[in-house]
Amino acid sequence: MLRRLLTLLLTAAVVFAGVAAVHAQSLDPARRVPRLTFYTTTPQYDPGRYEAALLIQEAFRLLGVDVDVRPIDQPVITSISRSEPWDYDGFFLSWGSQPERLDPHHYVYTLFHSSNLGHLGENRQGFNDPVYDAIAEGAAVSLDPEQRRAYVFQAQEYLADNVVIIPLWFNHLTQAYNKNRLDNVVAQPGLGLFTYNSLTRLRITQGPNVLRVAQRQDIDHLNPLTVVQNTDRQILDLIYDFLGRLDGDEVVPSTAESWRVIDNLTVEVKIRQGLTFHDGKPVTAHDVKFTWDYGKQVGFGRADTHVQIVDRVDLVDDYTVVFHLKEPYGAFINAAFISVPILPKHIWETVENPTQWNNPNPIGSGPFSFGYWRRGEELRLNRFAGYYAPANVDGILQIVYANPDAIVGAMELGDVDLVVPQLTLEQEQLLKQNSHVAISYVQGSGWTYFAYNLRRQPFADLAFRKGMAHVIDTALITETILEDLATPAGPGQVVPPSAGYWYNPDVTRYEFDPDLARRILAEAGYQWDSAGRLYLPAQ
Amino acid sequence: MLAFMARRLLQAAVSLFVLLTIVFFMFRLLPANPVDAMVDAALGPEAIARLYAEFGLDQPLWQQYVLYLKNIITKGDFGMSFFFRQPAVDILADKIVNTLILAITALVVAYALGTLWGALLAWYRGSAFETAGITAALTFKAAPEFWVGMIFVMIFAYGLGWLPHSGMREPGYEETSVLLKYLNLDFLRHLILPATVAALGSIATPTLLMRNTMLEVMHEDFVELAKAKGLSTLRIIYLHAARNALLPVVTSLATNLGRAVGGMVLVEYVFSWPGLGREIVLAATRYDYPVAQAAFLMIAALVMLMNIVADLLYGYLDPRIVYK
Amino acid sequence: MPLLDVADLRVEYQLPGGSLRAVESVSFGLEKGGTMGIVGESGCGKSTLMKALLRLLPANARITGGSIRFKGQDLVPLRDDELRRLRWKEIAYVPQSALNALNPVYRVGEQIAEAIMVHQGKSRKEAWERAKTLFNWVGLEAKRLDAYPHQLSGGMRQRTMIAMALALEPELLIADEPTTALDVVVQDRILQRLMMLQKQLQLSLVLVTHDISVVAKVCDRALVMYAGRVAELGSTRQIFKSPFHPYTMGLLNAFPNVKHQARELISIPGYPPDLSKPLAGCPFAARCPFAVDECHRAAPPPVEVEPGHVAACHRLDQAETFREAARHRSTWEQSMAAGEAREQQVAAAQAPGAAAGGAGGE
Ligand SMILES: Nc1ncnc2c1ncn2[C@@H]1O[C@H](COP(=O)(O)OP(=O)(O)OP(=O)(O)O)[C@@H](O)[C@H]1O
Ligand code: SF4
Ligand SMILES: [Mg+2]
Repeated sequence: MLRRLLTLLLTAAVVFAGVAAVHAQSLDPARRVPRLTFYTTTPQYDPGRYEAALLIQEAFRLLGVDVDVRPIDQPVITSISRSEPWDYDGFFLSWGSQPERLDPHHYVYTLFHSSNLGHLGENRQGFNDPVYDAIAEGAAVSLDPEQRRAYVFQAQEYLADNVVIIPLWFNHLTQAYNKNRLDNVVAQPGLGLFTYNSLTRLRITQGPNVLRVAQRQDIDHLNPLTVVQNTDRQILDLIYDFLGRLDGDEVVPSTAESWRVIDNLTVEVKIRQGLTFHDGKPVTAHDVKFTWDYGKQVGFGRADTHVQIVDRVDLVDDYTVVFHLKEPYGAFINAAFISVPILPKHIWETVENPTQWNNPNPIGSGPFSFGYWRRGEELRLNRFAGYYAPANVDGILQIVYANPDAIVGAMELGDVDLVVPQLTLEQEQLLKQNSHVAISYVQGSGWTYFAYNLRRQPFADLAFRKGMAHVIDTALITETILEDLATPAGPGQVVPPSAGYWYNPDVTRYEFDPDLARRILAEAGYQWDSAGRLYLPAQ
Repeated sequence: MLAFMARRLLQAAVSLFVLLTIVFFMFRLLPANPVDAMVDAALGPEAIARLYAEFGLDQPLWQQYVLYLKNIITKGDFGMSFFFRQPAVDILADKIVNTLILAITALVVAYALGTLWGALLAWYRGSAFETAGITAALTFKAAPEFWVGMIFVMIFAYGLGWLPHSGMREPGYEETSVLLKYLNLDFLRHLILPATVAALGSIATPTLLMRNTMLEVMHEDFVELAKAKGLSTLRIIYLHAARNALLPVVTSLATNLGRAVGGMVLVEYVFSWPGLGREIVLAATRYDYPVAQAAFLMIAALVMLMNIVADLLYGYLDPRIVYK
Repeated sequence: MPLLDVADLRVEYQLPGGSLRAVESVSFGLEKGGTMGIVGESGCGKSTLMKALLRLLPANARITGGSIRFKGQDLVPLRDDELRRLRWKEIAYVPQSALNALNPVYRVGEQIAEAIMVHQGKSRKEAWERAKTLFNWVGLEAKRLDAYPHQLSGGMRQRTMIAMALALEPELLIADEPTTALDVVVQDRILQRLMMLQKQLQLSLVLVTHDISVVAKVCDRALVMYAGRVAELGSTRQIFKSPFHPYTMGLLNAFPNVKHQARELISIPGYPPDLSKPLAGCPFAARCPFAVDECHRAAPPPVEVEPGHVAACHRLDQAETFREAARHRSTWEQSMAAGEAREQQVAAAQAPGAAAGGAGGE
C-alpha cells in the first residue's frame, strides 16, 4: 500500500515537471476548468467518505484540476444532489444494504433512467442517454430471468464504458456475535446476520434462550406503511411475513406457497394454507389483496413503487390471487414480493388515519411477534410458534446503546450476543481479540460512491470522465480507508457482487495510469498552462 | 407577590412566543428538510410529495406558521413527530422524566457537596487545603464530561465490574408500575455513574460561588457574634455564614437546573441514558421540526420557570426581600 | 482575687507594610459585680482590647504579650474548644456593631434560643420560654421574638442584643458602645435598663464608650485609653474629681458636668499618633499643652498616684496646676500651635536622616 502511495506522489511530481516545460502559448481563460466543489459527509458522521473525498481531491490534482471538498450534513447533500437546480460538481453518498437491492432494478433502472431525471428523482447525476434508456427498460420489464440478465449485464457494461458514476467500494457487513452461545450462524449474503433467515435458524447453545442484540439507534415506529428507517424495517421484516423471502441468492415462497408467471403483466400466487396472524386469525388471499388495494390507496412508503405498479388484484379463491400489472415489471417477484408486508385486513380496515399512526402493537404473521417496546431502552420480540418455519430462539431482545464504545463493551462483557450495526474497522480490531467473539464478514448489497454532475463541464464530456477514471484508484482508496472490510468497486460497477446472478464481473476497468489519463485528455483537445492547470478543448 | 408572579409569567409568555417564532422559521430556513434526512430511502418524487403533504410541508410557510400557532393555542397540540408518528409532546415527555432524574440527582449532589466544600474552602482561606480544593473543582470543570465518563466506565464498569456501563435498567427487566420503574435498586445502580460524572462536571460552580460569597459574609459582624456565642466552628460556618452565603448559590442551582435538562447530552451519550438531550440532537439533525421546536420551547419555558422559582426562593431565604 | 485581671496586654495587627500596635501594655482589673468604663477617642484600641479579652480578634491580629486572667485562668493560651465553654456562658459580649450583629436570616427569638440550646442543652420550647423572659427584662414585647432583625428599630435591636447577652446570666458582660448609634432618649433608657439588670444579676460589666458622661452615670471605675495605652485608670470618682493625666483633663472638658457649671465645652485639637509608626516618647505629647522635652524622649510609665488610681505622665506632680489651666480654651489652642511647629521640626530633622539611611543601606 505504501509503495502505491509513493508511486502516486512520484507520478504527480513528474507530471508537474513535464507540464511546466511545455506551454508558452496563451490559453483562453474562459476555457479553464473551474475550481470544482465536491460535497461529502462530515468526518464525524462517516470518516470513510470524508477521507475518500480528500483522496479524490488529490487525484484531480494529477489532472490539473482544483477541487474544494466541503464536508456537510448528510441530509444537505441529499437535498443538493437531487433538487433543482442541481448546483454541485460532485458528491459522496452511499446506498445501504436492503433486501430488494439484491435485485438490480434499483441500481440499473431507478438511478440512471431518464424518467427519473426530474426534481427529487433518483437520477441525480443527470444521466440522459436514449441508448441506455432502452437497455434499462429492457431490464426493467422482463420477467424472464435469462433475458433480463442479458440487459442487466449490458447496462453494467454501458455504465462502465461511459464512466457515468464511480462506485468506490462495495460495503461489507461486518458483525460480531458470541460464538460461545450461538450456533448455526449463517449470514444472508447482502444483508448479514440480522435478517429473517439467519435469525430463524440460529440456535442458542447455553444460557437463556433469548437472543440479545445491540443496536445503535432505536426504532422510530412500526407502521409498515410509513417506515423509512432501516432499523424499523429490520424489525418489521421479522414481525410481518411476505409473499416471498430472500434465501441466499434466490427468492423463495413464504406467505405464498407458489407463484406462476402467466405473462409479462400477470402473476398468479397461491397462498400457503394454515398460516395465522399473531392474534390467531388466518392469513388468506383476502389479506393479500387487501394489502395491495390498501397500499395503492394510502401509499406504502418505501414499498410504494411495488404496490403502485399493480393495476388490480383478482381474488380467485380464499387462497389464490392474480396480480395484473399496469406495465411489465421485471423486479415484481424479486423486489415486490419481498418488500410488501402482508397486512391483516381485519385490523387495518378500521384504522382511521393509517399514515399518521405509529402502530403501537403490530400484528403480523412473521416468525416473531411483537412483545414490547421501551423507547430508548429496548425492544422485545417473541418467537411465534404458529409460523410455518418457527425460530429456534424464544425471543429477541434488542438493546439500544448510544455510542460505539458501549457496544464494544457490551459485547466484550457478554451482555449481548450479536452486534447489529456494521462494525467500524476499530471496533472490529478490538472485538476480534476476545475469545468468545466471532466476526461475520459478508458482502452487503450497497456501495459508497462518487457521483458528479453530468449536466455541466467538465463531467459532461466523456473524454474527461475517462481520463478521470484512470487517476482514481478505487482499490487503493478502499484499502487505505477500510483495509479488507470492503471490496473495491469501479466506474459503472453498480450491481454488487452479492447479487450473484446479476453481477457482471466483466466490465471495462480503468487501471491507475496518470500518463494514460493525460494522453486521453490531450487527444480530446485538453490543454495545460505553464502552471499545469487544465483547459477545456476549444469548441 | 401575586402581581409580581403575574408580571413574571406574562413576561415569560411573551418571550416564549418570540422564541417559538424564531425557532419555527430558523428550522425551515435550513438547507434540508425531514424527507432529505430519510437516509437511503430512494423514495422518488411521488412518494416524497405524499410525505410533504402528510407533514404539511407543501403549504406556504406563513400558513404552516399560522396553523402551528393555532394548534398550540386552541388544542395545546405541538404537532406530530415526522419520524415517530406520535405527538411531539409525548416523545419529549417520556424522555424529560429520565433526564430530570439524572439532572436533579447530579445537581443536587453537586450543589450539596459544592456548597459544603466551598464553605470549608472559604473558612480555611489561604491554606494549602484551599488551593488543593479549588484546583480539584476546576479540574473537573475543565475535563470534558465525555472523558471523565469514559474513564469512570473503564474503571467502575469494565474494570471492577461494580456498576453497569449503559442504560437505565438491566435489559429485559420486569414490567412494573411507573413509579416502581424508578424506585428500585436496579435503577439506582444505573444512575450512580452518570449522575456522579454529571455532578463532578458541575461541582465547580457551586463550590467557587459559595467560597466567594462566604469570604464576603465572613467579615460580617454576625459571624463574630456567633463566635462570641461560643458556637462550634461547623455551626458557625454552616448555620450562620453559609446560610447567608447560600443566596446566590440557590439562584444558580435553579437556573442551572433549567439549563441542565438540555445539557446532559454528553453524559447521556456516554452512558446510553435515554434522555432528552439525545432526543433533541436527533430531532435537530433529522429536521423533525415538531419535536425540535417543542423541545426548544420546553427548555426555554423550564429555564424561565426556574428563574421565577429562584426569585421566590431568594425571598424565602432572605427575609429582607419584598416582591414588588 | 479579681474576677478579671489583665496584665501587660499587647495586641498587634499585621498590615501589608508592617505591624500596628493597637494595644500596648494594658493592665487593669475588675472585681466581681464591678463596672468598668473604658473611654478614649476613636481608634485608640478599645474594641481591639475587648476582642482580645474574648479572644475574638480577626485573623490578622495577634496577642503579642501579657495575660488575661479570668477567675484566675489565663485566657491567652486557651484552645478554641476550651474558650467555647467560657464564651457566653461566663463572658457575654455585645459588639460595637450590635445593630448589624444579628443574623439577618433568622428570627431574633431563634438567635437567642440558639445560645440557650447550645450551651444548656435545653429544648427549643424551653429556650423560647426563656427568651420571652429575657425580652421582658429588656422591655420588649414577647411577640417581637418572631421578628427578623430588619423588622426591628435600632433601639429594639440593641435591647435584643442585651437580652441575648444575658440569656445565660454570665458573670461578665462586655459591651462595646452598646448605645452609640441611638438617639439620646433611647440611649438613656437602655442604659437605665442595663444598670438595673446589672445590679439584679450581680453582673460584672465592662462598658466601652467614647462618651465620658456615660461612664459617670454607669460605672464605678474608669479606664482612659490613649493610643492603645492606659493613660489613666481609677475609680470614677477619682477620675472625675482629680484627673492626673492631661488627656483625661481634656476629655472632661467635653463633659458638661452638673457640678462644674462654669466649665467650657472644649475639644482637644489634633489627632492621635499613627500606631503603625514607632513612638519614642509620650503618645500624647504632640497634643499635650504641658509637654516638655522629656515627654518627646521617653514614654511615661504608669504610676500609682493614690490607691487604685494610676496615671502615665511625666509631670504628675504638676497635676493640680494643669487641672486649672486645662479649663481654658487658650491652653489647648497654644498647644496646637506648638505641636505643629514641633512636628515641622521633626519632619525637617527626619528627612535628611531618612535619605542618609536610604543611601547608607548596604
Ligand atoms: N482588622 C484590623 N486590621 C488592621 N488594623 C485594625 C483592624 N481593626 C482595627 N485596626 C486598627 O487598630 C486601631 C484600634 O482600633 P479599634 O477598633 O480597636 O479602636 P476603637 O477604640 O474601638 O475605635 P472606635 O471608637 O472607632 O470603635 C485603629 O488604628 C484601627 O485602625
Ligand atoms: S507625659 Fe508629657 S506629654 Fe505626656 S501627658 Fe504628661 S505632660 Fe503631656
Ligand atoms: Mg471600637
